[in-house]
Amino acid sequence: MSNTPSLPRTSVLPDWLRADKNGAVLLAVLAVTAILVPILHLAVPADSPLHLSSYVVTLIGKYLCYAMLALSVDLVWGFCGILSLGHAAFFALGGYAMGMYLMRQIGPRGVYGDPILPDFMVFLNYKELPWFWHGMDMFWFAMLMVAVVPGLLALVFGWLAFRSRVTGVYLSIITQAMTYALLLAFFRNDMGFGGNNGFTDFKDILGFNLKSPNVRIVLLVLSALMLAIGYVLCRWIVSSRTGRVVTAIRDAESRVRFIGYRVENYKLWVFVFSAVLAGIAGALYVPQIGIINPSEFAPINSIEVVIWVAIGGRGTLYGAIVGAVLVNYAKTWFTTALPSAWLYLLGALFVITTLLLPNGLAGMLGTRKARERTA
Amino acid sequence: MQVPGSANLPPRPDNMFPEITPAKQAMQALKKLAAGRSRSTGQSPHETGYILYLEDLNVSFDGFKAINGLTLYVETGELRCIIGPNGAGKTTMMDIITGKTRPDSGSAWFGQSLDLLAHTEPEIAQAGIGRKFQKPTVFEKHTAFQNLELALAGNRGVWANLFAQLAEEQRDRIGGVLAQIGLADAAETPAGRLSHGQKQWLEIGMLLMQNPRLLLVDEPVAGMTPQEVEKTAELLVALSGEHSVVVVEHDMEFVRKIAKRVTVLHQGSVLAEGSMDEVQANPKVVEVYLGEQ
Repeated sequence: MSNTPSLPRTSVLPDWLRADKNGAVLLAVLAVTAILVPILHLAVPADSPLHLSSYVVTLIGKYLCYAMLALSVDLVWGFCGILSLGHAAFFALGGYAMGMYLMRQIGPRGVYGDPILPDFMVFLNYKELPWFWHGMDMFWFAMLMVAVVPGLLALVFGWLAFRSRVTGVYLSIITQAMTYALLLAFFRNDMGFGGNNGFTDFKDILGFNLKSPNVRIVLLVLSALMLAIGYVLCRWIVSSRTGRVVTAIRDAESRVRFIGYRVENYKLWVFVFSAVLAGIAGALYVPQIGIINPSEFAPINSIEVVIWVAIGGRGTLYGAIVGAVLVNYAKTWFTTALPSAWLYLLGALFVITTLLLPNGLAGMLGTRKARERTA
Repeated sequence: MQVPGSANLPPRPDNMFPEITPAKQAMQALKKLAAGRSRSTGQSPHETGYILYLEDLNVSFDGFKAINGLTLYVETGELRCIIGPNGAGKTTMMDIITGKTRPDSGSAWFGQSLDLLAHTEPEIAQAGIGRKFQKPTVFEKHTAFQNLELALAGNRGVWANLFAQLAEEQRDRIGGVLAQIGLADAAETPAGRLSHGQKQWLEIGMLLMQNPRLLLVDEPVAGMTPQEVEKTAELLVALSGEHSVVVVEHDMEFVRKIAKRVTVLHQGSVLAEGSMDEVQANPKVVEVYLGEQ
C-alpha cells in the first residue's frame, strides 16, 4: 500500500481523487489492513490474544476479493444502470484461469504422479493435455488469461446485448442465463475443467508454498493493493467525462444517444472493464481459498453480489466495498452461529434496504451529512 | 396544394434542370448553379435565403393522412411559429425534418445541399438541426454545467473522453450559453433541482452547444409560469437571427409575443401563412382553429 493518499491535502493528487473524502478513508483503512494483518499474523506470537490465526487471515483475504467483485458490479450497475446478475461468472472465470496455472504447478507431485496431466485428467483417462491447457503453466500467460477470458466473454456478450439494445430486466435475465449456462458447462467432466470437483489441492505459486504464512500474507497484501488500485481506477473512470456520459446513460439513455454518443460503445467498454476487474478478483480468491469449482457460477452468487452493493449503497464505489465486507462478515458469523437463519436474514436485509435505504448505508451517511449542512 | 401567400417560391437546386439526367451534365449544371447563385446574391446561402424546404410531403399512418401535400419554406435566421389544432401534423412534420419519420412522397431539404430524406437521425443532428422535445429531458444527476459539457460538440469516443479536459475556450463557451439561457447562477446545481422552466432552458442550451443552424422547439412554454414564459420569449427571439428557429406552440398569447411569421397547419397541410394579425383575420383560420376557442 505505497500509493495510499492518506494525506488528502497534498497537491500531488489530482482533483478527482482529492474530492473523494470517503474514498480516502477507505484507502487508509486498506493501508492499515495491509500493514496490521501481517504484523498480527507473523510478528505477534501465536499464544497472544492479538495474534491473527491463518483462518482469519484467509477470511480477510476472501472479503477483499469479494469487495473487488462488488466494486466491479457497482461500476456497471451503480453508474451505468446495467443490472448484471451474472458477474460471478467473470469472477469464476478469472478464478479458473488462476486454478489452471496452479494445477500445472503441481507437476509430478499429484496423487497419480503424472508430470503433465493434472490428477483429474488421469482419473478421467485423458491421453494428452487439452489445447486450452497449453501455456497455462507459464505465470505471465495465465495472468493474461485471467484478464482476457472474462474480458472476451463480456465483449462478445455485451456486444450482442447492447447492440440489440437489450436493457433493464431482460438484460438481467440473460446475464443470469449466461452464468447458469457456464455452471452447467463447467459441471461436465468432458469440458476439461475437472467437472463437479473443479480444481483443488494446489501446491505452490511461482515456486512459493501456498501453505506458508508468508505467502498467505503476500496474497492478502496483494489483494488489498489490487482492491485499492481497482478503486482508484474506477474512481478515475467515473470522474472523467466518459464517466459522466456513462452516468447520463443510466439516467436518460435515449437522450445521450440523441446528442450523438454511441451508447452501446460506452456500455460495452464499462462492461468489459468491470468483467476484467471481477476476473482479477477471482484470480486472487482462488490461491487464498485453495479451491475453485463450478458452484462459483451459481446464479445465486451473482445475486448476492448485487445485494452487497445495494446494502452498501450503489453508485458510490466505496459503498460496494463496505457492503461486501459487512454482509460477508455477517454471513461468516451467522452461518456458524445460526446457519438456518442466514438466508432469511440476507433476504430481510435486502428488503429493508430497498424499502428504507434506497441508497444503502452510504446513502444514509450522505443524507445525514446533507442534513447537518442545511441545519 | 396552393400555399397562400407563397407566390415567390425560392429557388431549389434539385429541380432547376429537371431534363438533364446524365451524371456529368448534372455536375456541370450544379457548378453553374452554384456560380450563378453566388453571383446573384453575393453571399453564402447560409446567410441569406432559405434554410428549410419542405415540398409536397405526404405521410399516412394506417390510411390516416397525417401530412397531406405539405409545402413549407423557412428563411435563414427566421423565427417561425407553427400553430394548428391537435392532429394538424405539427409533430409529424418535426419528425420528418429530424429523420424520425419517412414521408410517403415529397421532398425535404436542409439548406441547399442536405436531402433530409436520405439521412439518418444522427446525421441530421450532426448537420445542424437541433430538436427540443415537449417534455424536458436533462440529465438530472449532472449539474447544469455538466449537462452542457456533455452536449458540447466534439469527440464522442470512449477513450478520448476518458482523458478529456475542458479547454479554456470550451469553459467560456459553456459559461456563455449558461448566461444566454439565464442559468449562470445555477451552473453547479444538479439539473434535477431546477424548476420546470429552467430545465426547458437548459435543454435549449444543450441544443445550442451543438451549434445548430436550425432549432426545432416543441411547445416550449407548456407548464411554465408567466415569468418563465416571458423569459422564454426573450430567449427565443434572441436566438433567431443567429439561428433559424421553428417553434410549435399552442399558447396563442406566446405566439403573438414572439412571432413575425406564423404558419397555420390544418389536416396535414398549410392553411394560412403570414403575420399573426393576417392569420387571425383569415376566415378559414378562424373557422378551423381560432373558432374552436
